[in-house]
Amino acid sequence: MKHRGASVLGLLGIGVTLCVAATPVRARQQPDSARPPATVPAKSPQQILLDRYCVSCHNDRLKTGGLTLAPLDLADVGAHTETWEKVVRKLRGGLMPPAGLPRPDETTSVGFVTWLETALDRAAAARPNPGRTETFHRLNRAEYRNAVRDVLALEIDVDSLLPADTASHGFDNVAGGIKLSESLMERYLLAARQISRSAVGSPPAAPVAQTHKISPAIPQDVHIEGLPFGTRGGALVQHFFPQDAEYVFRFELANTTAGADLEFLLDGERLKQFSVNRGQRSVDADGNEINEKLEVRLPVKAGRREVAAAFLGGSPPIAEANRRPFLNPTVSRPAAAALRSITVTGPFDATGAGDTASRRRIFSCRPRAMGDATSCATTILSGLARRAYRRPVESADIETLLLAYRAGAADAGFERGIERALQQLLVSPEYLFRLEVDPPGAAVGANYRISDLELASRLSFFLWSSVPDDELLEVASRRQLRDPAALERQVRRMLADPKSGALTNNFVGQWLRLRNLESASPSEVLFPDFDDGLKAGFKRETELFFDSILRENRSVLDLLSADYTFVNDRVARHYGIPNVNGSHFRRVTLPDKQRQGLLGQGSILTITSHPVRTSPVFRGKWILDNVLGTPPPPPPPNVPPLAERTGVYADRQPSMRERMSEHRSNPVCASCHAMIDPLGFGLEQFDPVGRRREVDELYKPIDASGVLPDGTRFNGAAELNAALLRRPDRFVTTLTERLLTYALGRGLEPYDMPAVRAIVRASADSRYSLQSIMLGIVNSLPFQHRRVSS
Amino acid sequence: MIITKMALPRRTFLRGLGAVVALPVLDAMVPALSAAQTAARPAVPRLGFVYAPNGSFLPNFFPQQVGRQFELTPVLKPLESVRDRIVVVSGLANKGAENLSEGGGVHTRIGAAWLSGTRPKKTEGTDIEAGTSIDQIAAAQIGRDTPLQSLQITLDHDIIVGSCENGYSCVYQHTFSWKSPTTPMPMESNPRSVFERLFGEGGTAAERMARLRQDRSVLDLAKGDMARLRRRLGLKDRSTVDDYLTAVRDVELRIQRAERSTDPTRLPDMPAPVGVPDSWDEHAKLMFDLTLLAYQADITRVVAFQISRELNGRAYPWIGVPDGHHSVSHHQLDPEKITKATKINAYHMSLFARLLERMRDTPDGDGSLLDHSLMMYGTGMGDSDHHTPVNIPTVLAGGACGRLDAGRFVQYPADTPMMNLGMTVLDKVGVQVERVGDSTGRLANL
Repeated sequence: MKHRGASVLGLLGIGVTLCVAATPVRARQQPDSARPPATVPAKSPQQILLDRYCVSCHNDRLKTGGLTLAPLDLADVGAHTETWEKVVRKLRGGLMPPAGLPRPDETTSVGFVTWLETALDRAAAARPNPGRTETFHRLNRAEYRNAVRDVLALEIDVDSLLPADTASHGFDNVAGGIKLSESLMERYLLAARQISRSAVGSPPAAPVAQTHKISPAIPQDVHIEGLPFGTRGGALVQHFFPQDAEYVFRFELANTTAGADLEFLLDGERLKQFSVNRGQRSVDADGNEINEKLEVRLPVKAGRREVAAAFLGGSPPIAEANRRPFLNPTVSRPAAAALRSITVTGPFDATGAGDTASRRRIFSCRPRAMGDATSCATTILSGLARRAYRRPVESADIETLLLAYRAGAADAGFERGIERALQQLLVSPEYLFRLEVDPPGAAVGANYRISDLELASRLSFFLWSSVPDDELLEVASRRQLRDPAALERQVRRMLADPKSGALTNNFVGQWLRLRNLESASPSEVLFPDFDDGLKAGFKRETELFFDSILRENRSVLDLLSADYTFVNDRVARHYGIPNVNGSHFRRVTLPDKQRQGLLGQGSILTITSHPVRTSPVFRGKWILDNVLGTPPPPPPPNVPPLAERTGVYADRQPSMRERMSEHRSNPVCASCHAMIDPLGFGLEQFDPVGRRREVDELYKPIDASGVLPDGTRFNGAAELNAALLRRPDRFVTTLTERLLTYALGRGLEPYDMPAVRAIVRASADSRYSLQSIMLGIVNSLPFQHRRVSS
Repeated sequence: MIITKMALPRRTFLRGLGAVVALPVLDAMVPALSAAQTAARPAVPRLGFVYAPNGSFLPNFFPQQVGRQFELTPVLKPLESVRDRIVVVSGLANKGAENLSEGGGVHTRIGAAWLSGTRPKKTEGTDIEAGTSIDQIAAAQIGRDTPLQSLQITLDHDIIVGSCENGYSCVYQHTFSWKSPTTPMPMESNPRSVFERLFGEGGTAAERMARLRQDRSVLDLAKGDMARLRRRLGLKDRSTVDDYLTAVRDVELRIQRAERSTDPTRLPDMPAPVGVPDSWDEHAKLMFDLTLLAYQADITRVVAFQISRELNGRAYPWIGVPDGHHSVSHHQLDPEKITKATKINAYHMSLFARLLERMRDTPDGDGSLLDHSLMMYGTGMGDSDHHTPVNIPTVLAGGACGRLDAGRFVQYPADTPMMNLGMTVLDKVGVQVERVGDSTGRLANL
């Protein structure tokens, strides 16, 4: 069958010279020894296979699933790429033909889908389509923050300045997801004013009180990472001091009945110790404790500093969490004193703007004489605008900024002028939007290679979620970035830079839905020891884990199967890993094979559970979405509720499996839940907060056996992982699709799939190392090209 | 930030060194506007829309007894003290929101259609489209003279990532307020940001005037940048430019309105909130207090308030419901789930009731704020188990400047279009339109 398949290819009438570059390695490995037959067969073997296994449902009459394959011509797949790409996805995922209907054997099925992919890739090579990213790509909140950090050397609390962005196609960096509105414009204006003020070091409109709150769900009875040894609880916060001035620090405590000694540190230096004595506790009408005395006024130099407070003395002999495991700290406060907030108010009696990193970055020159000021301002603003606008500046850019500068300088001198110009820069469309403009004279619908400078921006926003640095801009300005060797050097350099941690925050946080951990709320009754400390630990574990794959350039398959993870004492105790002491995270080897990989991590297991029980449906869907890349279709409308308590279960609670089996006894639900639920069963050995368990909620032994849509059987998480990785290209393709969506900032289209497959194939040589996939993306057609709008 | 001539006292920021204390802080501040200050102003209508997600168990919502003798059901119970100021409405449906061929996504459709009667376009991409909502239709007219045309508030601080619901963009869940079919109005969850939108950054009057002038010139120059950019672009790309320019113009208009306003004593004496409180309950109350202040100071006359977005699975352990809202809303006639879902519905209603009580106790012109307001409380779906936009629980409240005959339960024939109520609501605040969404007329007997 296969060799005859190859013969059909020969008859497609596509010139060989056109296809060479795009002919995939795997296609060439197919046993295609036979020569084209002398005559055209009436029906190709692919057509025969299609007719036998697919068209019996997907025909003009039945149109099962809204799809008919009958009228489509296999000899010209390029005419219906969208449909055929769907077919590829279903077959790769082993979803079709549905279980219960006759299926070809796996070799035949894989042979067919490979043939189909090859044909699609050839068609694409003949008529490549890089797609079109939006012309205006608004910086999202994270990018805005990072750009301010990299342009002005200023860390800002962007969440308090700008509203969150809405995600499209799963990511909040997809261009045009939400439009610019009046209220957003207003936030940009206010943010620009506050940021330029902080950067230059002018006094705020009035002294400001800023409160750093400490969630009551963060345990205060254990040592907190970063605080001095021999202390417990407290908090460590970053605070920006706008000027050299005096500031008032105020600490709010709870549960001081037993007394406590609180130590106050600034940048690690002990400045003051407060003693709260037993009996001096005062409570206001609402039951809130008042600790008026815990206040100190001190001179502080301008800049970003670390404000910390911690209680003297180690943890109580028995940690509260162990002693009273039935009480959640949000329900009942711990016996030990706890820090609730740190408020910093100021500046008072300012002595000057001080010497901050921002001022050093901004004031690269100083006007020495009267006539000097404008030329110095020009120097300063040119340098900042180059980075902020991500390109060499033009005279018109500077003219606008100088107009703003002059208005400010006329009011209150040179520095105020620079501050005004910065405010202007931060609301300029050239800063707020990444722009990609068709080259002048380009024909409608033509493909073109984007400029080096545009490529530099795509690269830095992909890897850093920020603006290019000087080196990258320099290389791009010399038009050397299109040189593949130079490009690879930049990618490696940028990945090695700590700024690439943005990938973990922004890409992983959304791809794996880690950000949803924030809103997970496991039942306090059933899981009394689940608190924000554990939640934060879960998140950190998964972040460090992904980070290690990226930095050590490991295979992405390790994401599902690595034998190590990262834990601190809290997470280790939760997982039952012995001999881990202390609040810092460290790498540990996992002897428990069930626990290995992402699917054994508390973060993923918690966000895919209900507050009171596990959800094989959520877990199964998570795997279909994020690992196999075959999201199930939405449930049909007006689904009748599960008849949980009828008939057979009248006298007892049904088990999870029994309840789920109702999904599959109802034909409306069965077609999808037969795929979804059995995947989720594989993780039943983990409870709703990711602890190992041997029995379920009803004290019945766990049955963790299940089956993949392609028929592979497994029992438990370890075998599930192995089954998922049996054909590794599925997971690698899914990851590549998600990464490419994130990198381009647009949703993928069927015409992007040939590029995805090429990246996956090329990375196979390095056993799918993460960096090779990232390089593949950077070198791909859609990343480097764009189509002129038609 | 743009409010002028409003004496936000300096001591607001200075008082007690670290005046930005734990929340809630507003209770003591609310009566700060004396009747004398507000009496001179003619009564103006205020309009509010409060959304609670995931429907209701209807027998616990709708009374049995129609008319003035209606009884307070478990969900309506919190409204006891304002019973004579409300109208409970049944029979309304948003049939247009349903589409059997589009499959799942019911939460998204019914939430987005609540105030527009228009089904949102199924897309996860950037080509989002829904209907202009009645709050925005009203804001375009009755919001013209206030510094803010309208205010959008949500209590959901977390933004969902990944897929929202079956191929629908998350934006349909994140807001129900749409200025045009393609322009959603983002909702603000941070009390600090809401405060700054209402009252600005503080400082002296002169300082605030200076900032306004500065904002104007910043916007002027930014328009120049955009005009230069526009010349480099193709026709199609110019729509984004126009969005930018429209946003700029809207802010400029707002500055003008702020400068025109001549009433210097409309500000309450309150410290700026520090951020999102830890406790959801505190967060909710603070946001309702800010809503009250916005009406009271006449900074805006239209508020869209989302207690929670559709499909929200938040647990409410502090009222005795440790289970997720969405999962108990699918009660399947299980008495325990019904009890829990009803507890949540009643809790949400109690937050609304608290707002109404405060509005009732706040003098405004010749009466109270509540006398001059029309508030609509509701959800997108009727029975929470079936998740269908039929027989949608709705409560109207307030005097609407004498145009609402309150203290009643009114039953309309099944499947009366929701937007017939929308037309009626617009009527009552003096806004005339031909049609909204799938409306077929106005409601009689309201």
